[in-house]
Amino acid sequence: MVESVFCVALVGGLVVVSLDTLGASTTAQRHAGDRALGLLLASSAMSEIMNQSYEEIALTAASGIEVLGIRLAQPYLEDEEVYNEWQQSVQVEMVNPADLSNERFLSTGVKRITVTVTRHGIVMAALVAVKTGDNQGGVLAID
Amino acid sequence: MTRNRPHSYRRRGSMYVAVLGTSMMITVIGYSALTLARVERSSAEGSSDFTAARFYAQSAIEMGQHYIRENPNWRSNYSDEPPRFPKPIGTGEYSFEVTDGTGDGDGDLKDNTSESIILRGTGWEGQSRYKLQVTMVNKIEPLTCLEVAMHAGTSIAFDNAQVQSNQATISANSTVAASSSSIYPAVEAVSGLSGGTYHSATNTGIAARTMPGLSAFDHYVLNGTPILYSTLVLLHGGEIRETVLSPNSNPYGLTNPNGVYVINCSGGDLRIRNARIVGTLVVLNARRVRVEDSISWEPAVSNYPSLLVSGDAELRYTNETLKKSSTNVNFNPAGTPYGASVTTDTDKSDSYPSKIIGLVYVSSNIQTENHVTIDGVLVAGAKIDATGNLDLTYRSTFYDNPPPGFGEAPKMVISPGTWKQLVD
Repeated sequence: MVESVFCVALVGGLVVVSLDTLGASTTAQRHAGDRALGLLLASSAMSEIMNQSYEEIALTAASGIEVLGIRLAQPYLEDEEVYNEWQQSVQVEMVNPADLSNERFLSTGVKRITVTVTRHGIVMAALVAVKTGDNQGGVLAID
Repeated sequence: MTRNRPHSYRRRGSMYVAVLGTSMMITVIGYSALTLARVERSSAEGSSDFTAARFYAQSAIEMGQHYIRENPNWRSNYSDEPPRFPKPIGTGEYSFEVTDGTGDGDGDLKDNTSESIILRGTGWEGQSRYKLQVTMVNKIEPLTCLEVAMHAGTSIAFDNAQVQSNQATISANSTVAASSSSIYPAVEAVSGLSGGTYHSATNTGIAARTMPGLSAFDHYVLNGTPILYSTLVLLHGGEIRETVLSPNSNPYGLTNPNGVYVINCSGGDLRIRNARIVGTLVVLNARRVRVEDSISWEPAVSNYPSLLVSGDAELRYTNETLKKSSTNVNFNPAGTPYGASVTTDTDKSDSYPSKIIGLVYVSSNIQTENHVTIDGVLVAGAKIDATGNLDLTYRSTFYDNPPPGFGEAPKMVISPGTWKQLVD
């Protein structure tokens, strides 16, 4: 009798733990799939932006950069819904050529582009790149 | 009774085995699911890092271009003290390096400012690294005055003029005015148009076209062969006439392999008529330059100008063919062939269409009359006054491959088709 109870408890416990693990694994797989899709969306958007010239990025941002069929109408930051639950944002900032993490308000000839894709507000992918062009009076100091 | 005991023991052992087996299967399933999730997560992270590294490498190429663009003395600076790398970007790092791209083996960036370079960019993110390479070459942007068949730095005035053809475009950085004229080319002006009649499209308010600077003559003066004006005065009273001037023929002195000849008139007049010229004639300090009668003129180097005049010039030649018979001169002697068939002979019976093929640049004013034919580009630094017939045919040779002095300052640009991923 004791042995039977022990066996049932052992098997039952293992089944519960195993099902939990399976559930967590399935959730993780779905998240991995989401991240892969997010990366694909971000990569596609970034590739399209990087194919534009330095000047075009600024100009078309004002009139709309077409990213994945979605027009981003604001010059620096705009969110657009991609599918139902997805959001992507493109941020274009002037940065210091010597320190790409340092934003500048004046023209430096270096624009940092950040593409972020989120799902339900959770960041699924974020990509950063820079595009350079003629500097209008800025001074470069890469050392 | 004693026979039943062994059966009872066998059933208990089976239960243990079944429980242990089931437990093991469930554990293996759970562990496998965990491992699978871990592998997928690791794969997703690797893919994400790889993509990020690729964009960092692309950014490194951008920063390399920026470094070259913003440092006029970058060849010396980079050779003496290259920038220190890697540097942070996003959550990763980037670096670029520049090497001599000519393949001459000297590895020296400083020895020739026009030689190509190889720019390599590297991006890192996590365990991923991505390397890109491009070749950069010196490119000269052409002056926009070379985009049209005829351009004036200030204004154009037509008076009793017939201008052909409707395949060409003429433009002025100020105004275009026409009186009792018939203008078939398209006409563009920065300020305004007046008079008529214009038979093709007209456009005002265009952006001013870029013009040659004071240094436009430098290359040709430096590399040209001088013709002494005193020799011209002595032989032909200050005229180039009834002769052939080419890389292999110069009756006034030494020959020049590119057919570039420089005449400093020191304030005197120069007339060019009934002559065949294959080359570039540079005329300096002339009181008056006239091209008259019949003329057959083309450059010896395909994208070089035919005529460069510092000052004013009058183009007054006609469309009457240049004939050997009337001048008693062989215009296609050995060393100066004519036409696509590249013919030379010793007789004096041939004839040649009277026209200037190529680029004509006059730094000040141009006046045209009689029946002037230009097959190329005509540019005046200031005003153009045209009467009589003017036949224009545009050649894009000079815009596509601008001659020395007719381009903007050279810039290093990425040579198309040279993007390459490096794997090592």
